[in-house]
Amino acid sequence: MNFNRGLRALGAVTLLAFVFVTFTPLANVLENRLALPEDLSPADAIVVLGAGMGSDGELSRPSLKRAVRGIELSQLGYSPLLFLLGPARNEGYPSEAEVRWPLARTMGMDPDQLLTEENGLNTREEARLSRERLFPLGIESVLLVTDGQHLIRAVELFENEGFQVYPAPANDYSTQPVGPGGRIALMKRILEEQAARIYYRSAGYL
Amino acid sequence: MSQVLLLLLVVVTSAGAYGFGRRWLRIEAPLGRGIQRTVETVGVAVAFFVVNVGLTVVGTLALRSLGFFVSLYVATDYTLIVLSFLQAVVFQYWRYAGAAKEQV
Repeated sequence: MNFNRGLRALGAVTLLAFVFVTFTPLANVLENRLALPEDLSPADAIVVLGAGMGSDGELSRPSLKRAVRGIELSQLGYSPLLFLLGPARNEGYPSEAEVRWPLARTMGMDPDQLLTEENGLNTREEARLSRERLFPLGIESVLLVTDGQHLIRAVELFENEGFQVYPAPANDYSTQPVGPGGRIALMKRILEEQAARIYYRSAGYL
Repeated sequence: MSQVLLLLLVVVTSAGAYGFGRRWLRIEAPLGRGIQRTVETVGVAVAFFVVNVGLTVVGTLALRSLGFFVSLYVATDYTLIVLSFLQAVVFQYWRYAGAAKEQV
């Protein structure tokens, strides 16, 4: 039956792809080719993009990683201003940016070095809100902190808003995994971001 | 090295299951038929997954147009892979149960 033959072909291709992703360094090679390399440079501000949080007010792992990276870059003297973004998960709960603020204070940041924004629900809105908040302060160059795959899209969006952008990756996954589990996680992240780029391009955001 | 160990483990348990099936369960059907049907089930799972992801994206965008924000990352949750595979297994059992009944 043709229907069964088609299903078998689809299944065989999928299993083959699974073996390639799991037992070869395919994901590592793609990561090397696609991800933006780190380009640290002194900038007017460090912008840390949101990455989600639990409804209990706990930062997600990527969110925590990005926040700590932003604070670290600030402490290293790359910029005097740290701009923390991230919305609230549910109404009546603290936003991601609000939760990141005390973390930054605990890690030695002064309140006048910190700025928060909790209205951006996606990368496009975060880029637009960053322009609205930072341009009036004379800020035109930013160190952009998010994961390496997300940076491909985020840098383009921020450049479209008029910023000079320096990518500062903060990955919560291994970019060169050696085991099958790590490779699957990395390939998932690569595919997610490629799909997001296709969506942004087709919607005219990029 | 850990990858080789993983593969070796799967080969050993598969060989054990084959021996158990032949000797104790007295399965006479060729193993190739089972592999063929498994590959087919994976194909069904992929079809379910594509439809599930597609509908999730459409639903998410529809909700966004109504003013509710839902992240598109919900479409890439690992749970959807597991659920799609379960759907495929049920669908295949149902399909072949129907075919077996027709033969009786």
